[in-house]
Amino acid sequence: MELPEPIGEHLKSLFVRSQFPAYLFVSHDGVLLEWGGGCDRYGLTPLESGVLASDQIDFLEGMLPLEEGWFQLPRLLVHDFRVVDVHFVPGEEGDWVVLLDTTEAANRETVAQQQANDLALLKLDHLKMLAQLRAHNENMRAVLNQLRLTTAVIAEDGGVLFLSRSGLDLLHADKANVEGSNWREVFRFSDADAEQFAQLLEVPRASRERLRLELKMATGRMRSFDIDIQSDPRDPAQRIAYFYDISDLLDLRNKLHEKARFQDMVGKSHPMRQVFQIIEEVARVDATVLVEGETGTGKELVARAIHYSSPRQAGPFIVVNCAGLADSLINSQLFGHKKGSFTDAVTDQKGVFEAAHGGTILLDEIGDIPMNTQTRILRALEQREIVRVGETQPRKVDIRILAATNKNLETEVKQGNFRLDLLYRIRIARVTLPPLRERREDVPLLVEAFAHDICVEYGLEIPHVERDVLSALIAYRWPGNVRELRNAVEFALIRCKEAKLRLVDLPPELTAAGNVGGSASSTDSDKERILSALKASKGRRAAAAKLLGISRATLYRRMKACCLGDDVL
Amino acid sequence: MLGAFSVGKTSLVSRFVHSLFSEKYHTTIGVKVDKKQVVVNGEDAALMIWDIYGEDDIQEVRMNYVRGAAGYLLVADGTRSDTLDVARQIRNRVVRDIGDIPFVLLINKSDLTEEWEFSDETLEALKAEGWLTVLTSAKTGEGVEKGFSLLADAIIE
Repeated sequence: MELPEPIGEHLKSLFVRSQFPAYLFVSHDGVLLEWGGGCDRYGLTPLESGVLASDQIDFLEGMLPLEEGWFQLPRLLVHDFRVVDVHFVPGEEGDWVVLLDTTEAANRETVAQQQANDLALLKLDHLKMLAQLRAHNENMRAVLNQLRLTTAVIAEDGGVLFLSRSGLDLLHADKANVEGSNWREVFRFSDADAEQFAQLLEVPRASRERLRLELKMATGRMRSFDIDIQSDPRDPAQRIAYFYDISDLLDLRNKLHEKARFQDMVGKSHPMRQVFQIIEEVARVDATVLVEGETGTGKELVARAIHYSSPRQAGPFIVVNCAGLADSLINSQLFGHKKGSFTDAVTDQKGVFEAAHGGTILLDEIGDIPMNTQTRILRALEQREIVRVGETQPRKVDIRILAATNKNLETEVKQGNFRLDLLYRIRIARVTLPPLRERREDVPLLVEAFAHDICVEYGLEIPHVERDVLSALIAYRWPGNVRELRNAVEFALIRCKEAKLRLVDLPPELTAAGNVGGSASSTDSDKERILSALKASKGRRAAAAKLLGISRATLYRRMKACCLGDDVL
Repeated sequence: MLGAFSVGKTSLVSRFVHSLFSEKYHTTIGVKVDKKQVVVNGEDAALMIWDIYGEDDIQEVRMNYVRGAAGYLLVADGTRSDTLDVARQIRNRVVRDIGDIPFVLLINKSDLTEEWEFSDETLEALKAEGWLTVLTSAKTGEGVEKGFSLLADAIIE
């Protein structure tokens, strides 16, 4: 069949280029007129001329008759996995439907397209995963921020690669300024803390321990952090630092501690809480206060607490142990003297009352002051003035007087040893300290506080105090009260050779049978304790007194009371 | 069958015509014509189904393939919300180049509930726009017959 020109020429060139051409010739109203080429190969046959082509070939449905010009239906999958491009070519006497085999090109295209689509799907998966990771990341950051956990990634050269939002907020820092800067510029540690942090970054994983360091904030305030360092799993040369802000926790802990401590005193028992309350009350006024309590109960600590809680806290605080003053010198030492007023008075000398001007004076063991000195003290209390020995002109002194005693002053008054008017004058306010045996619940707290202080002082590791040790300490009757307890803890800590404080570390009198419970002052048990302490200290009085938690003067007094002569041991 | 690439057009046809499903993804090049006899309003009808390659960033669907179509199924992937945007774009081109012929939106892969990205609000909005929408799963067969039937009904009407 001759193809009409110029379409015929064009189709011919297409047929020549294509390996398996096939064609149909249909009337303008879509009736199949002729066909040829590889129609069999593409599964188009059997065909019948004179019948609508679209009734015989599925893909012609809706395509014929041609209403517009030439158009192409590319890449049609037909019989036997062959792919053809179908060209619809209008002619004058009819229309041509030409199939050009493009199977090989389509196959190559399929492979390429499959790869492209697979890649696109992979990319979509990655994007989804990335979005999920970002969401997780955001969640993690939100959680971290909520936990006030600051995290930082630090490079091997010390550069900060990342600092969490909470860290930026805490340091009032910009991300741009932080990232890339050295951690020493970002984290404002003290020099000592910076060195510790640097060491923590360097040491191998197994040796890393959590550090507690302080960081200076932009406000200048210091905050405390527990810091953990981990190797970055993505790059072992990098470190991830976790900063746990424990400032609030420590503040709370301190507040709780404050409730159990007042100045240097420790105790949460009801009697001690009452003592703390009275101290607070009397500190606000300038009244004379008498502090009463057995030896070792902390009378001086009470006086010190009153002074340092009072408006006089910036002034001097002077303690005078009245029992230790020689009768002949007591007036001179308290009130001063004029040059030449007695043999050794080679210069004018201030007494402690003058030295305490503007502050507080504690007259400890006031019950041991001789009567004539009591008179002078009474005058100082009433007139607020003193007269130096050898002088006649009084001198004004602005002092607050606190007095302490372990004696019953009323008894002393009855026995004629103490002036009643002085008693009334010094007893405007009273603080009575309970003996330790009446506040045994404070023993664990005191042990903890003493152990901490002593270990810090001696550079020791604070050992674990075993339960039976604590039980023994609680059960003991503590005639020397808190001072004795402190000395016992010190003794035990020095003896302790392990990480645990054990019964064998305690002073012997604590574990000796019969030394627990009961009241304080049986003379026999006092005698036994003194003898035991003297034995343990190989007769040395000072060491024995320390062991018993009493002063040397008290030891001698008790030895005398127990009929123990100087020749004992 | 029109829609973005890999939304499951070929799988939906395979499920509808041959009751088959394969997890493996085979990209479609060009077009594949299938046929299925259906009953619409009590009468037999032949659906000539043209499964056309999916649209991606590089190639748009040629409207030549849609010439002569009585209606079309727009297919979106319920786990990829962007495929609804592609479906909208194709619909706009069909309306522009071919005319406002019947269509049904099939939101496929309804079995992948954990990865589902289409919200109820989105479906409500499509409904409000007058789109016939069916959730389908070529894997389980859910909604497949219904989707094709809805289109056949719309074409007959």
